[in-house]
Amino acid sequence: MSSGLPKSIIWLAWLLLTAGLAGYYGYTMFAAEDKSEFLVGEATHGHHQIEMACSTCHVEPFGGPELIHDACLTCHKDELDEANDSHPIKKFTDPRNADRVEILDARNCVTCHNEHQLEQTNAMGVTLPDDYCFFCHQDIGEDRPSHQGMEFDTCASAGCHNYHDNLALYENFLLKHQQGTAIDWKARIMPTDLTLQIPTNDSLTAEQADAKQGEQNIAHDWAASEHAAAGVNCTDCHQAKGAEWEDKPAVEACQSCHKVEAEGFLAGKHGMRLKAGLSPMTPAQGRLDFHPETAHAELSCSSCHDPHKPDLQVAAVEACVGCHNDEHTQAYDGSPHAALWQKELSGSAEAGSGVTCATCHMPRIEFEVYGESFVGVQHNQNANLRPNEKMIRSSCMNCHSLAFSIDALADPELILKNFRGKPGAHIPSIDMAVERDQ
Amino acid sequence: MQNAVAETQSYEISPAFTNAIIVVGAGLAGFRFIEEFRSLDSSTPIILFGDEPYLPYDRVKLSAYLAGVQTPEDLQLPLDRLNEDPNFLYIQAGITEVKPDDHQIVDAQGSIYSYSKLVLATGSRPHMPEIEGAEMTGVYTFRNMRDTESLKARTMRTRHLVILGGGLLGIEAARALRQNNTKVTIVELASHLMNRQLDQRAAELLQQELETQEFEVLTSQGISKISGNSRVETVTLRDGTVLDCDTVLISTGIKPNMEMARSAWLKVGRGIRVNDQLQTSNPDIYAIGECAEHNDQIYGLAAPGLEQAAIAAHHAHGEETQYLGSYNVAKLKLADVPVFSIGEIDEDLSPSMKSYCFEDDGLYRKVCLKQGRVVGAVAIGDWAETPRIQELITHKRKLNRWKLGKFCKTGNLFNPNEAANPNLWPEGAVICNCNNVSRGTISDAIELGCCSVTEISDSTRAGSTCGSCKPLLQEMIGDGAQATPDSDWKSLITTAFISVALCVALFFLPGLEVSQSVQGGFKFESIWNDGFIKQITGFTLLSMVVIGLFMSARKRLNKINIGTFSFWRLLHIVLGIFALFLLFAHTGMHSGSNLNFMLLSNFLALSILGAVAAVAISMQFKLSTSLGKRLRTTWFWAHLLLAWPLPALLGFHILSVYYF
Repeated sequence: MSSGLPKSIIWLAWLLLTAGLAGYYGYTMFAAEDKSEFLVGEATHGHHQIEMACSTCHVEPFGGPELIHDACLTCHKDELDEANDSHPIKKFTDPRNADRVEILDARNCVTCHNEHQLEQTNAMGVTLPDDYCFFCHQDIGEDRPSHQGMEFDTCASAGCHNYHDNLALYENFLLKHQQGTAIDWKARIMPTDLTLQIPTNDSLTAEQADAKQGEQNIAHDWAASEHAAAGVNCTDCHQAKGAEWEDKPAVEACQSCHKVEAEGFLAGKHGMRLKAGLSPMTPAQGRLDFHPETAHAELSCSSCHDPHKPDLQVAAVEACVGCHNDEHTQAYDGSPHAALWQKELSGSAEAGSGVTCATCHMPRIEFEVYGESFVGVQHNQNANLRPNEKMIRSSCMNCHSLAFSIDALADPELILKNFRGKPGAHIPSIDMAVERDQ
Repeated sequence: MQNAVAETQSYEISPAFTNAIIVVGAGLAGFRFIEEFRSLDSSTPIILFGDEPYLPYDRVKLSAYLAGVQTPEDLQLPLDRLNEDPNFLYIQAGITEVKPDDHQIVDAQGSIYSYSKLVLATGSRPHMPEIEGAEMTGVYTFRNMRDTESLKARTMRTRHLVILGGGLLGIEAARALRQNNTKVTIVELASHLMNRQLDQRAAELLQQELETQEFEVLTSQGISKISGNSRVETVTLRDGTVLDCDTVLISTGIKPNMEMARSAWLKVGRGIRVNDQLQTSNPDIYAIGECAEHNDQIYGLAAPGLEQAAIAAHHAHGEETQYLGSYNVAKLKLADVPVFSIGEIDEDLSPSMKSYCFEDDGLYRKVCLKQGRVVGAVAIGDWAETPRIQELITHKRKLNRWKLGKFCKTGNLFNPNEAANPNLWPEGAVICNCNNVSRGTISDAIELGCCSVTEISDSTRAGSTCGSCKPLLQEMIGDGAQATPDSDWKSLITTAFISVALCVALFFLPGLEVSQSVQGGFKFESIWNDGFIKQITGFTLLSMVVIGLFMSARKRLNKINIGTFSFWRLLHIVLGIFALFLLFAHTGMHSGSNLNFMLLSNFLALSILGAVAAVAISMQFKLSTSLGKRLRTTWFWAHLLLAWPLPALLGFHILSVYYF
């Protein structure tokens, strides 16, 4: 090594190699699509799908934590508003709380939700120890004698409190819903009313299909579908953008009519990659258990809804279990919810009495579009999932009492068994509220 | 000189001394012949004749004696050692007659000695040009001890000395005699000084140097007349210029002493003609040294004479040997200017020769090649590579364009570190020119237990003649590698082990866990997990890396002279250890992913290799020279190689923290 080579050559080689390495990292940083070289750690469960779309959160180069905080709100602000955030930012920008900000700067999302720190991340993407409530509420025992002796890491874990969303847990709500039977057998799922949302034309027949090519059976399927009935012809979707025929129309084609659903889809884990401009989500990129044979199936609207044969029954269960294969999913078949769904499918129970995957995870809720209210499906399956108390109002309480719902959702074992059985423990939140009220 | 003039006495020649080997001439060549012959044969009687009225001395050192650097005792040849041998006899007498037919010689006292082999090492005398007034008082030659003593006596009174002849001896004398503000003028007949050893450019540089030392140098000039009233007062130069002077020194070359050869009817040319076995036209008579003429060449330097002596000794002992001629190697300091010359160097004499030059600030180096093979070299100024050049020439080695191109740019044919360390030279490289001792021979002697320069000299004769290679010998044994460890080797090795332990811990121990509670006082993660403190630890790390790099700067940039290198090296390592501790604080022992992982791995690997290099450096003295050197070099380079990605990785690590 040291023999022969003159110093100038060595220095030149060193310079070139360094320039090469710097060039590689420089290109990756400033120009390349794939910036995975700079990932400092795995992203949380909520964001790992879009970790390669850096600019979604790192809006501008050298933006600093403030811009990242703003980026959080771009996606999550509406949710926080809807949830009537219990610890809104304005609470901490209030000078009276300056001493609290000293302890924990709650003005910034990233203070508690520090991304790319998976090994330090707890439930809800929080990178603080579970007893973070202690920072400000350490003397809660004095105000609420009933809370004396409770550990601070149980505040949020036992189905009582949540830092942001307490819609299903606040005291008045608990008092209001203290009564009620565990299961209301007469409860029914609301029917959706798509027609309110979507203008329809005269229905079409198979002969009227305007596709210049394609298989005959597709046209037949289409002719029998709601799309034909609503006057949506082949080109409306396949040539929605203009001259070019697309074999597989993108989400935008669906979105032109199914606005709310598409928004929900794009906001949830199934569609957030598409929204971030990345390739579609596939089970292979997910962190749950999936059927290996579907690992590379790409997720779009048509993954669950065959556009030529739209079938809501398929979309409600079969589509989900086609890919998902975790314990909770596997347990659905033997669950009481599934039994109700089987009855509905076999016709022995009336429509709306069965409970499917979608019933809880993509619940039918009221949307408002242009001032008109209608019932649609929340396609962001994550909207009521974390923390799972969010599911109480949108799903569980359609059929169950609040007390039962709280108990059930606070029992992780029961959730794994897909609610086959009874809640393992009773959460005394309603009792405590009632006691305090008296 | 209390014992310089030895008493004259007549010898009773013991019968044992009949049919002896008789060596005529008690100079270097004669002595070498006897020593070499004695090493082969301890019984054959040897008689040495010397006709100078001094004990045998080393002529090469005369200029040092003239300059007052050495005493007559320093010059003495080891006659005492030879005298311990009962079969040796030294006779201080001239030879008046040689009877080759009877194998006899007659000395000045009339004694007759019979020989089996006669060795003529009669040397030479100064060549005296035919100049009017050359016999005048104040005209000197510089050849033997007598001349030297006379010159020494003259030194005090000389005000202006004119030296005729700008050869090696003339310049040495000029330097030695210039004391007490004596003005010295060197007159050279040829177009440049030392025209036998130097080319035009080298001679110019030498002349410039001499002139800055206030010697007057006149080239292409001669003396036509020396005049004065009973003693020298002026010299008239060829162009008519008249110089006032009080002393003239003639050093215009040598003339072999051939009187004896003539009286024995041996063939002579310019010198006594010898064949490849150094035999004269009479096979029982050898001629060696300056009086011998081999292949039309007479060698005026010591080394060829010594080579001839050794070969003649082996042949006289009955071995088959062959003398192929010597290279004229001149390696000496003239007026404090190192001058080196070997082989053919004059392009004008051989048109097929190609030469490659390097010149820089008084340094001049030229390598001459014929058909890609090195045939000669000249240098003015220090050149550590000269022994290896000699090796290239003796073995007629080829040099590739890469090395020659590098040579023209840097002046070095070999890696500088290698050139500086004689232990890394090829085995055949000649370390001692006078006695033609190769690097391999000396290394063998060291392996066999020689551990001082004197011991090496005694066992290999290297350094025993002119002594100019003694520093190389010192380096070969002393090199620090073999004998003395680096002064801070213990600190090096301790710190090395600490850093390896730290690196292994950082890499293999699991990352620290964050606490599961916000309650209960100080948490260590508040150091490694907090953005602000991470910046503090990060930039401290950066500055440590930068300070640590000052060691490199100290090593490479001559301008930086603060602190010794070993201080900076230790600081480099200690900072490295602090940096590893800081890494604990910066990362919480999490190795990170992607770029950060690369950076951490790079830094840890770099530290480990640095530690290994430190161990190699500190343990070098326990290993053999070549292995120690190789390990040291290898690990040092590995350490250096791993340092290349660090700037880019570190830069982008810092950039990415603020970019994203």
